[in-house]
Amino acid sequence: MENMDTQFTTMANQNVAPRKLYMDFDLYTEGDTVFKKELLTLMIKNIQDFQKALADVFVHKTPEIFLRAAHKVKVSISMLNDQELSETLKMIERDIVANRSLEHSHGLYSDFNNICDGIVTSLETELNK
Amino acid sequence: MKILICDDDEALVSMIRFKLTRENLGEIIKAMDGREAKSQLRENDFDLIITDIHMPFHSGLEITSFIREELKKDTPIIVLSAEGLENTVLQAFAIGANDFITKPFSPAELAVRVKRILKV
Repeated sequence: MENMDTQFTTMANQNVAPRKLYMDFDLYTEGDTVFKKELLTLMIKNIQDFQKALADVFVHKTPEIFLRAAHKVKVSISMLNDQELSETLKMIERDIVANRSLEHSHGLYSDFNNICDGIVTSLETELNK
Repeated sequence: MKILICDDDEALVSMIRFKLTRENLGEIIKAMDGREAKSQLRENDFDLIITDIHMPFHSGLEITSFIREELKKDTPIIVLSAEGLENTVLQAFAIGANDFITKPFSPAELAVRVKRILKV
């Protein structure tokens, strides 16, 4: 339990394996490579800001900040079209809204962060193509 | 033509701006929160406002009310929301919104709705 805060204050792990991306880039970028870079950069920022907000919930017990951040990241999450990511986020939101014990859902938050880290790795690879 | 987009999600604003510019729908101005939105609305005339409901400082519903009741403008307003709750939709229309789109939406859908409202 004493390691939970440390785990959730750690940002994207550089050694995380890339995760398969399900995003239809052309749907949003219409093949424009300059805009694609702009969009992916902003999506990476959204995801990382959200991971920080999630970490803050554990450290500062601030569900309101998390819920605002969850609202802001929703569009980026939907564009990624990753079902496991979307479902895990829904379960986390339900936990926080229901004010369930965070310790009880430790595994869920860990899974979510691992998925996000993998996605960020893949988006960064896509960004550098 | 000038369109104001009010939303604190930079990725979404970027996507909307990209699509509407591609469709040659004019100059796209962004406001990243309700305060910035009000400032833009006081200083400029727009042909269309696209606003999220949940934003820092002033919500999209407050912005809609501001446009209709304080500025007394009939500029078309499209409200965006991740919720899509019936009460929220009804409230938006009651305050004076012209259209309501639930997030997530495709850029193509937004472009069609914008063109329909602007009659272009």
